[in-house]
Amino acid sequence: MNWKNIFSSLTIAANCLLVFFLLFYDRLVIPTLLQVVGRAHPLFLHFPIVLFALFLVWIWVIPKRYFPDEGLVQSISEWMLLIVAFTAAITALMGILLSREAGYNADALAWHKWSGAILSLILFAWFLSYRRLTGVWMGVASVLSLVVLLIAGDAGGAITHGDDFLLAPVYKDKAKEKVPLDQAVVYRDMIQPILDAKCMSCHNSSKSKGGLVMTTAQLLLKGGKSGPVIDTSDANMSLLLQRIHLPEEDKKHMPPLGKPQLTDQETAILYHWIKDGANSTMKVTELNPTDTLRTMASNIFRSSGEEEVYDFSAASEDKVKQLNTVYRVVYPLATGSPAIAVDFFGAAFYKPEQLKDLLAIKTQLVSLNLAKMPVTDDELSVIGEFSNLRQLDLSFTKITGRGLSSLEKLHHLKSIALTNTSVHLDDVQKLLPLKQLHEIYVWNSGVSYADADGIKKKYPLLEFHAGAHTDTLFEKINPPVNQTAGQVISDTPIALRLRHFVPGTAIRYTLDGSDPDSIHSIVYDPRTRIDSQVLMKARAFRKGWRPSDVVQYQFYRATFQPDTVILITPTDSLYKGKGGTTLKDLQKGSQNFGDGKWIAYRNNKMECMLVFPKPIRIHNVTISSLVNVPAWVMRPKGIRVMGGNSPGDLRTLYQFTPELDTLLTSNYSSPYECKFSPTTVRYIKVMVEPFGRIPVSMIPSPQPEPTPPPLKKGEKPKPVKRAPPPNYNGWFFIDEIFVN
Amino acid sequence: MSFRILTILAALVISLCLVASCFHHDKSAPHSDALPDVVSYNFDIRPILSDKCYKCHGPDASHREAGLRLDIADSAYAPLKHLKGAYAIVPGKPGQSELIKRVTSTDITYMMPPPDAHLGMLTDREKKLFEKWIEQGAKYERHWAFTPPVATPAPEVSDKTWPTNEIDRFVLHRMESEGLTPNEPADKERLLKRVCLDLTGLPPSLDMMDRYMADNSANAYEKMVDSLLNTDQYGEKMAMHWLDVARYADSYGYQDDNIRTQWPWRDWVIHAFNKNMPYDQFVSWQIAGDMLPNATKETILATGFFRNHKYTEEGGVVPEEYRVEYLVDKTKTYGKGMLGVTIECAQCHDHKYDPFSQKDYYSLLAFFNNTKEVGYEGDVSVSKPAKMPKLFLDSNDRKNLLSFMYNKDTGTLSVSVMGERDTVRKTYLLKRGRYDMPGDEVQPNALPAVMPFDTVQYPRNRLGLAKWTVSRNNPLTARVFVNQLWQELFGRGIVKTSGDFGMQGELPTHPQLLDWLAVDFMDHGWNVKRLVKQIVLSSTYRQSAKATPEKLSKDPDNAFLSRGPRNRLPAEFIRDLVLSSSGLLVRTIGGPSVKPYQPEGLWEGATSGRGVLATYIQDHHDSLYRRGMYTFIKLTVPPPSMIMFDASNRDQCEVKRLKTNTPLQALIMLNDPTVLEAARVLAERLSLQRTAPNEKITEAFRRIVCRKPAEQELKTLTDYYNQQLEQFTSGKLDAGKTLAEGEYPHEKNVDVNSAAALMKLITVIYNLEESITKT
Amino acid sequence: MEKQIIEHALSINRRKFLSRLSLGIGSVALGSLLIPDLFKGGVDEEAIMAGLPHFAPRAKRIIYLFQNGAPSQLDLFDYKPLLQKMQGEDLPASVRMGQRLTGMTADQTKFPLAGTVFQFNQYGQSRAWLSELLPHTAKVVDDICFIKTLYTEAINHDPALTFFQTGAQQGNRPSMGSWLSYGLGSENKNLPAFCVLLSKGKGNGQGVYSKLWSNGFLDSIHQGVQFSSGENPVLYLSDPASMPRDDRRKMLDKIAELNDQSYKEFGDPEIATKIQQYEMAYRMQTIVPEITDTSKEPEDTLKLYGPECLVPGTFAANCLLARKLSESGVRFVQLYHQGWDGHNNLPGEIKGQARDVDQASAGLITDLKQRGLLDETLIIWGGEFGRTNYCQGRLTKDSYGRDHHPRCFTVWMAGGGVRPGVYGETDDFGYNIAKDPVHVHDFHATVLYLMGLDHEKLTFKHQGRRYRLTDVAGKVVNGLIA
Repeated sequence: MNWKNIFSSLTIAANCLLVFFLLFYDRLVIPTLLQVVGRAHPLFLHFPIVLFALFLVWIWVIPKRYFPDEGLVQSISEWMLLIVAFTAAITALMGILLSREAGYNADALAWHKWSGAILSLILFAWFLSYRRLTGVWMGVASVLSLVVLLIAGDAGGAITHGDDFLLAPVYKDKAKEKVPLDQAVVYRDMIQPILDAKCMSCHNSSKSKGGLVMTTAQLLLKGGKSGPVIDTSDANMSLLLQRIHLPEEDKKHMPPLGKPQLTDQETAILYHWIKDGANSTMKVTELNPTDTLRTMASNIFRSSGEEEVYDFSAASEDKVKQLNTVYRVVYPLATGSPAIAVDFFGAAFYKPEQLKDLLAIKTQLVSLNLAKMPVTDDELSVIGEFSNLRQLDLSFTKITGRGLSSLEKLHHLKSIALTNTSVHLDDVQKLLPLKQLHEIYVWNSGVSYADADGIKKKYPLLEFHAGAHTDTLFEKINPPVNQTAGQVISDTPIALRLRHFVPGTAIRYTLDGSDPDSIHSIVYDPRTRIDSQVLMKARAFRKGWRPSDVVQYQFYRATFQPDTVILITPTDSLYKGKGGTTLKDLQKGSQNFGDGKWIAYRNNKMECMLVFPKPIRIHNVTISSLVNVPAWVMRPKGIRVMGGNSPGDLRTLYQFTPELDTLLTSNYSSPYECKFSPTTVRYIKVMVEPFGRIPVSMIPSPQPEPTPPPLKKGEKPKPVKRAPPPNYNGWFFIDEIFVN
Repeated sequence: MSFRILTILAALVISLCLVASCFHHDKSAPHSDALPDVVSYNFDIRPILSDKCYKCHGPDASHREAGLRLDIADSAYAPLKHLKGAYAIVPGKPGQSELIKRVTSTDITYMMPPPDAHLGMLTDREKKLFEKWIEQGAKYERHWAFTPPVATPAPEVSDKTWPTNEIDRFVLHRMESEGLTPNEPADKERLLKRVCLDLTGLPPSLDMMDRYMADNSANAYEKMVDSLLNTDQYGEKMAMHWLDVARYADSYGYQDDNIRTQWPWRDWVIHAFNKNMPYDQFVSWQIAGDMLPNATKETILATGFFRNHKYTEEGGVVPEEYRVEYLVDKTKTYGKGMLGVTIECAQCHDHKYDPFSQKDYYSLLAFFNNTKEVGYEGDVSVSKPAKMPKLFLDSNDRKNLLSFMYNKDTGTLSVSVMGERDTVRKTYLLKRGRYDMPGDEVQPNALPAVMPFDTVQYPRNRLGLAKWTVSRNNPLTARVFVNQLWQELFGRGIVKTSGDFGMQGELPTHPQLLDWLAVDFMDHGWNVKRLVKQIVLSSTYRQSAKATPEKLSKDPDNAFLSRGPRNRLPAEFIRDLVLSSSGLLVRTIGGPSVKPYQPEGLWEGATSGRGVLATYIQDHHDSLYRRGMYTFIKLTVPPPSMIMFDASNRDQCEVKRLKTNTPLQALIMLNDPTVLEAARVLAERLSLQRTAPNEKITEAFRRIVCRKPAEQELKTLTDYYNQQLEQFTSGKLDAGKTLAEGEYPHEKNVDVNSAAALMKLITVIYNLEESITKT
Repeated sequence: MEKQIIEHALSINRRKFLSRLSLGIGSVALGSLLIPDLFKGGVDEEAIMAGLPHFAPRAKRIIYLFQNGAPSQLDLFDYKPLLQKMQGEDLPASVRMGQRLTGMTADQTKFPLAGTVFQFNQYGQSRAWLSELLPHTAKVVDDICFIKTLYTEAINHDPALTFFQTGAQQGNRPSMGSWLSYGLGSENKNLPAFCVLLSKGKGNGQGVYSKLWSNGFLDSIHQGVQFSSGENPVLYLSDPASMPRDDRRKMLDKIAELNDQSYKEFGDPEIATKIQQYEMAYRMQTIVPEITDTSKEPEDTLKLYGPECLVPGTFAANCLLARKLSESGVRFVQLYHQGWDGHNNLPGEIKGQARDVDQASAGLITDLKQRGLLDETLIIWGGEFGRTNYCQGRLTKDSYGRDHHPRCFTVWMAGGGVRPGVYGETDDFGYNIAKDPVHVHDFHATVLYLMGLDHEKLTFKHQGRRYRLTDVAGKVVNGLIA
């Protein structure tokens, strides 16, 4: 086995690789492990240098004539050269790896990179052609490589680094470990780390460039030769910030060219810290929540509740993909997170096998939601396999609790929900030893409030939710819902439709205007029909509840219907409805008086004539109207009903003035019943005088023309008025006239 | 000599790995094929710049970083302000161009685009393109869409037999360069369905099918096309798209959302297409019909186009705020619908990507700023069917000069239209687009970057704008319309982003074809019917829609047209298909919109309780069976079945509908009373015929899918029919209940069981993907 | 002689060298492992974030109890005794600072201050002030984070509402729910990710508009699907009464069979999708009724949400339904309760409104808590803006109206990683913000953050621009986060 061959081949390989890397330099991405290799570069580079030196000494200085065997000399020098070439190549490779890490200035690197690479290639070439080179060429080769070496060495020297650098990547995860937000101290946890990373290599106790030492806050604030570096009185002038913000080419720029530079965020953090007074003890949480530093902090520290860094590796994407079905959703907690959560949906489609499939990702599974699935105790053993499980939801499942013991292995379990299952106290107690477990939900389960209180006493830190005590005081049941169709009885009676959505609730009602009670008033029967003009009042009664509020409903009776209704005076132009027919179409308008079923009068009296096919005997005319004071729809000032057998001679049958309602809250439909002794008529004339002028007292505070904010150019917006002007008349709305 | 060998070998190794890696690279990214010999600024570079750079180095001065703008040569070549001795671009010298250094860098603090811009990095091909482009002198070109189209003669193609007209040669040329070959022609039945749907929005009737299948003359297809172009339904079909553009709706929008009367305008559009009004006239009337020297009620009616947007009736708004809002909408609609540019982006700041300054924006807006319109005419309680300025149409007008209009009920109609104030209202640039922050005054002026507005030739008003828009030299108008039309026929425009021909829009897949069509269109008097005919007669259009896996992988969304169009019908036409195939369709043209079946409580649940449209009062009889385009559109609660099939909600100008495929669509086809009723009625009618079941099935299938069922299909269907019949006769299913769908009167003395079975069968057919798909 | 030796040695070398070339190439191959994107092009951000949170989320789902019409913060949450002292006096201009007015009060020359007529008390660890109108909310104060200092830009309902829901005052932008659906996808593949429930109070109504739950330029998969409590939860979901499930199944099988045939013929992927969509439709028909069925609710649900929760269309019923949808994996449940627009007779109207929502809102919190779902569900309660501290219309001892007020109003959040307590302060007049303002954009940014999304990364490219829910502004308010 010829070592020389091995070495030479390795050298070839190394150099090819080197060339290759140089070709695709920009796209190299270095995994952690190789980073370590790369970081060995500063160590390793000493071999080629020293060896090369020795080699030169050997070939030029050491007199060879004393050596008996020339072959030996040859092979020694060849050997040396080979080793040099080899180590050089390796060093170059390491260099490449190292240079791909962040924080290196591309330009500063270039020289070192190329000279290093070239050196390696030269030496390699030299070795290949070693035997064919004459003394002169040897000289050339030696000088050339020596020069290149010096260049490389010098360029590299500019990029040297601090201590415990080599193994840093190994501790990476540990370093990543974040401080919880509420414990973080601004200086200790935000500022110092930056200084450590980017400044400490030159400004430490041993090597205090410019007499500045940054190991502690005190020393930092003390400053260096050129006085205090931090001047809180005027942030921008702080020497420290000044130096940081100088252009990178500038000699005074910190950190110096070629050193890992501060990121924008780091710069910002330093800036704001100094701006906020460079306090070395203040906690992050003491900062104003909207403070910029606080905002940045929140991105740096984990605030409580955010879950930890996981120590297991992610499952393969396809595995996750193929485990996903429409009833079983499998997904990583977040982009790049190895932890996986699984939710089950659609009880109808659940099968225990679907749970077993998950064993494929049993290490990654941290959250499992089986709520409402018909899971039985048998499956619990499977769940026991998911060793990293943090969250488990078994609410509304079929488990009895006996199987819970198989969950005792889940040492990471933080929270388990067992609501609405038949688990009992002793089952649950099996889980209590689990250290991480701090949330248990057992509402609506076999665990009583009493048990819960016991547990809470024993484990004060444990959140043990047995559910809310729904208080025992009697609440009011909700009123029945009125689903009656139609309000106007012309010929056929109307079915009274009342409904209550809470099962086992009784509905009682009255038709005499009195409020229903639980004893005397009628119990609702779906077959009830209403055939007369009455006011229905209904109420719900339920055991354990207070009786409901009253719902009421006005039925109208229209015995006689006129052929036509002639509007003698015109309606207001805005609410014409369907003219006269509006009043006889038996269609009640809604509270929304714009629905076209209403007609309205405002400035002039309403006068209309109802014409009947033949004389009829009447005793009641009902004028169905509306009150909506906020919209200035008021009760009328006066109502007059006249009747007779020809339009010519009509006499007053009824006349009255409804009492005033100016309550700003009033909004209801109000029928005015005009009852009188039975009379036979063919024509009925109804005259209504609207409310008239709205009293100033009702109109919002006096309002002369506004003086709107001056608008420089463009149009001036002319505001519209909502409240009526002083001389504004109230409305009268009417949708039907019923004659009985 | 052996030494030489060694060196050679070493060299070999190196080149080997080079080759190897390049090879991988190609294989992996199919799109990133070899770089073009000459890198084009318009087609290769600008898209990248605009996508990844203009955000901070574009036309928008307010957001410009480091004073650098890359959209114009001079400033891109100029020395950088913040980096001494450096240049963003040094023509011919990629190495020295800062741009190259930065896009290739991986240093977070140095690289471009910066990570915090969230724009992503440049692909290697993009980087290479930049290098090559700079090598070749970094030449800037004017944006393709802003240079007037020039008709290049149709290219020579190897396959001489396939092309029918010029279109095909352009298309085939592209196909050949992509290594694709055209599909065989679609079979007659499918072609007929396709062309009927595209020209009338309705499926062919049974006897149309029979006639066409029987006609073997060479020009059978052309004859069919001509006859279709002369039906009234053609106008309806063409109008549909324009209603989206014009955001036509039957209510005012905003919270109370009361009713309004714009339908006379809608009917005019249908009319205009039917009498094949030249597009330039069509457009100028809508922009300035009221200002024409010989303006008639018709030309004024046309300007309703700009009054279709939302109007607030919310008590207590600041009128000016909304008056401005309306102008903004008008401007946007004009820009997007007629010019295909996203001018609205320049409302609050200079356009980030296109050469439109904020000043340009308000200069354009100024054209509309002179209408008599006000921002607020009072709240819903005083709402009227139209708003100032109005056009009144009494029944005489409708009888005489507007004879095309629906004239059932007498009485005078009022429509919102455009109308100029006598005194010119000043227009100001509004800072940050805020109505109450007026800046400098601006004069009416159309987008200079598109085409200078020659004030000698054109007056500074809407009339001038109209003239400018349809000018022979306007680079956009014709292109944009041709493209929209192409999109409606093929499902994808030659420019995919039919609403954005600007820098951020996609580039045309067939630039020469687009230009050729545009020029040809203008040369022939903006003749729309001619254009349509031209396209549907092309071999390109007549291809079969079959997609081989190979074609699918090469060209998934058929950009290179190596197969016929295959698209799901637009919402309205699905309804039309259901109604017409079942014989329910009422073919009345125009008139007030109708309120067919709709799930209960939708309007009631969302209304403020004010206004006429607080409750949905469903229509009856004929009004239940009108075409989808006449379904009443209440802006705040658009008809659900339409929206679920991606109809425009008409809230804003829309030139291209989404095309989605959701379970809710399935539910509609399965349970919408309209479909069930149609199935029922057709079933009852068929069951009265004295024919064998499978003949009935075949007829139903033909009426709906528009072709004879394949043997296999017929078998599947017949099986199902028999199963169902058995179920009904055996009483397992209730025939009576099943048939109780819809208000349409039942046929007398039908055998309920067979009818019910047939009804279920027809429902199945309606639910076939092919039925509601243009195949 | 010697020469031969050398030649010989070299010849060996040559052969060896050839054999070693393989090694060289091998090493290159090895090297290429370190170049991940050697085999592909560059990376696009939008491609990366495919339906996964950007970072660990605090909440998985949102239930947004939107109080449409703008409840009066001054009569519910923001206690200002000064107003009672200065009852009827004019609002100092120094305080008003030219705030733009709605047309309704623009012509009012006096702005008489109106103190609330309702009693206020302090509750919970945060000692938050609550008015007597919210007795049930008072019981769960310790789970609630009151934001006293939200402010918005619009002064009218439509634009303000649209702004709150879509991040823009006008136009077709995607709604919050659509953004979440787009960013996180649907949890339960058999339900839409974004559901909408409407209810009405007796107070002065302001309509809602489907554009509020529109998908804007996003795929209409992300559109809000309107649900309703009662027989017909989803439009067109229920089959004709005459059609049993198995019969529907048979029909679907036929349809699938035939569609499959045309898929074989045309190879159009749309057909394949269509087939799947019909399957999902069928699953929805099975699962949705399961979810919306209230009959299996335990008795004390009645006491938690109030007995109204069984009456379809009420706010209480919608809260109950919201819980059921949410626990079945619906990302975003959006409720709207109308009727808070108290321009006149506010005390009268607000009593009814509060009665409608108080118990159910509190009940929802308690219910989710006892089910262990509160931690992962974010509940939001609030309107589109606040109401003025001065009276609109007539001011009497026991009645007044309040106009729209965009400068400060109260919104509360609970569960899903929010920090319970009171955030921000308004001045003694309750007119301006004194401390810690929260703009609507900030609010959106924070909500997205709680869902594990970076509001600057959640973008969609449309017409050449990358749109965000937070437009071009907004920053996460850490003070709100536990």
